Amino acid sequence: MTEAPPPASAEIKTTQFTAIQALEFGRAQDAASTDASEAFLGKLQGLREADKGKEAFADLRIGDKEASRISASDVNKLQEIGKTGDEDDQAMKENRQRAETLKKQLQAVDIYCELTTRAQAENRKPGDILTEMKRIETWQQIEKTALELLRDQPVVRTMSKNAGEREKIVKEMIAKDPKFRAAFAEAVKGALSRIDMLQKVTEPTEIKAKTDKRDELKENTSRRFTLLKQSTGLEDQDLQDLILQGHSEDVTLDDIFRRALLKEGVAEVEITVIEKHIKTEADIVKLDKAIDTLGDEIGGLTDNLRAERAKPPRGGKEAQSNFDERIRGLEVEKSQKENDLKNKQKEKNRLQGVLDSLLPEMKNKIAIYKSLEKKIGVKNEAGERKKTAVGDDVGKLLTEYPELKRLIKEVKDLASQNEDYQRQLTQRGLLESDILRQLEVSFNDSIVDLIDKRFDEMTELDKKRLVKEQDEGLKKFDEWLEKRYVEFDTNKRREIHHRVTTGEDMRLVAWYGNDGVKRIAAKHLGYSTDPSTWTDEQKINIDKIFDKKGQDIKKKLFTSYFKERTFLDKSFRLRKPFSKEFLFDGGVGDLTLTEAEWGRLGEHFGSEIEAGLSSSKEAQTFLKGLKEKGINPNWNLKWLLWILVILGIIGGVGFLATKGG
Amino acid sequence: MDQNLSAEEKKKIYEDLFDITFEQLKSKKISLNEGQKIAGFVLDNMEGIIRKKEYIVFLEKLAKNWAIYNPYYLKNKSEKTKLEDEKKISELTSKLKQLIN
Repeated sequence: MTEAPPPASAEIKTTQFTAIQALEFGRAQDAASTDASEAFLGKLQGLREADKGKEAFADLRIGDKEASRISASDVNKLQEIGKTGDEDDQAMKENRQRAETLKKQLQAVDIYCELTTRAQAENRKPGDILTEMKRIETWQQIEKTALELLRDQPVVRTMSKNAGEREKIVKEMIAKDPKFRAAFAEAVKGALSRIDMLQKVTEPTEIKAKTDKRDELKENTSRRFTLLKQSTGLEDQDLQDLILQGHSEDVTLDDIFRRALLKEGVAEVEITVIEKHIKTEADIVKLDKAIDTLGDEIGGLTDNLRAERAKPPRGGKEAQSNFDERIRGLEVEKSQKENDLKNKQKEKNRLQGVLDSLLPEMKNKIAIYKSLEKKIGVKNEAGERKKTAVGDDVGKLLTEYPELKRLIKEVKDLASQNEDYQRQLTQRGLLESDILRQLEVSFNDSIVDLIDKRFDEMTELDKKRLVKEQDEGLKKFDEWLEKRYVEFDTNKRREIHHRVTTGEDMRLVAWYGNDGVKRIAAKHLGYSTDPSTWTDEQKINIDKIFDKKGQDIKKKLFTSYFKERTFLDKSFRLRKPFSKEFLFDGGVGDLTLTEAEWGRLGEHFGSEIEAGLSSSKEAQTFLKGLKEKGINPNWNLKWLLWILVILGIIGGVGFLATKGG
Repeated sequence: MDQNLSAEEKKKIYEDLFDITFEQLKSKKISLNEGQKIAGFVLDNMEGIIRKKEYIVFLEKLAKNWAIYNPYYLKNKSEKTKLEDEKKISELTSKLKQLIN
């Protein structure tokens, strides 16, 4: 049996989903359905190939947790970025800054995902889990960094214009999805692994010696500047500028002191006032001491007087006179000291009054001054500064830092003269930048990857659903088509020829060709047969049937028509004795096609039928036989012949020869 | 009397079972989570198995929980039955020979 080839099966048109639907779908998925990553499978395979089946099981039991986590050793690879060649090179500087930012962002997103997932699974507060993880950042810091970063990714921006809504999407649908975390970790680890593969830039020998010394100095000066920063509160740049002024250690320390005071909010004009108040404090201390001494002395004089008076003079007038004079002398001395004490006490009270009347702000500034002065080194009255750690660092920096600057310049000059080295550095810089770019897009790409995977899963499910629905729909259509033209009741052995329907459908197909076939499909669906009234949805449904069943409709219609027509032919009827009951819906006239209708049928299906016949050897033999007999087969004959080919009863040659035309 | 499993045999069992599991993981017929459960079950049970008879009981349990191990269980079970049958036949034959002689 041969017939025109059926059309290629139509693609199933699945539902169009939005990104949010895909993410919601993911949220509903069981986390347990996660597949093993390629990397993890590779690890397991490696163990198995090493004949370590038990160890492979042990690893499998632990699972693929590390694969979806970004470890400290992963992100620490970023420390290699921007460290090659000249540290002042603009491109390298930029790479270094990008790497530092990325390190924070990657860790924040990774920890955020971990915390949100665990907080839900363990019914705990994210902050508590974070404390347990011994991280220095707070939950608020991590959440802010991760949410702001993810919500502003281009793909998330397409989901909503509202930042709050986007944060909600990130919180509820992205961060908790294990597939996002896995995709993110895979993307990040993939990019970071490229850092391991970066080729080392070989320094020319003459540069190497200088860079070694430079690096040593860089490390030392960097450490010293860090300590100075902590002690003085000044920034690197301030300190570097002050060191490079080339002043003596003492002057530099004075400068640092004044600059640090300024940074703490102490204006230059206030310094003299502060120093005056500090002097007052010192004066009070001195007065206190003097008062104490005077007190002691007065006490001593009082004791002496008491002792003297207890021993009255014996002897003559002279002894009495001496006694009186001693007593008077002691009393005068005591009185003078008491006056002195009184004056000093008065002065002390006055000075204390001045200090007490100072505003709290000034008192605070005095405290700042004293604290800084202590760190930097208090000078004695002779102007000698007390040794301090700050003083020591400044002293060393005054030598080391200019030396470092000189070496940096020398290395730079030498490097710029070496073209090959420069080329290597440029290449390294470009590769580093490319890795950073890959990491920067990993946030967006991982979300795209997640949505993409969810789309695929949803589409696959939708496809299965549609296929099932379509199968059911097509099954109903088959049942409908089976009874449409010639209906056979096996139980009653009764055959009903629906002549009206068959005639109508034949005329539709004759006039409209394949569009006529579509109109038949429309009848099945209960739609009008006028295509101008079809809605888009109706058109889709009609096309679905046409794509799948168009050939079947034609085959069924043509063979049924043939059967109903030929039933009238005596010779045919004789070959099929009445072993069953026949019923006819409509008269013979209902099956009649006009010449014009036959012509149209030929126009529409001529080539299709010619093609069908040309592939049938028997049909070709038959047509050749007709021609030899001088019969030129017309379209009607070819059509009938084609029907016979389809029905597999090409042997009815006698009938055809008599019928032809 | 039932035979004990040698260290080599145990190693082979681990490898056979892992091969089956790995194939399923790779073709995504089981999830990672399921794989972890299987690994836990295998490791927890295999550790305490000394005799071959216990091993067959373990395999039966494994196959009941995860049908993917059913063919392996049946293969091992039939091998064991075959061995037992051969042993019985050999015992009977020797008894018969003793009787005849």
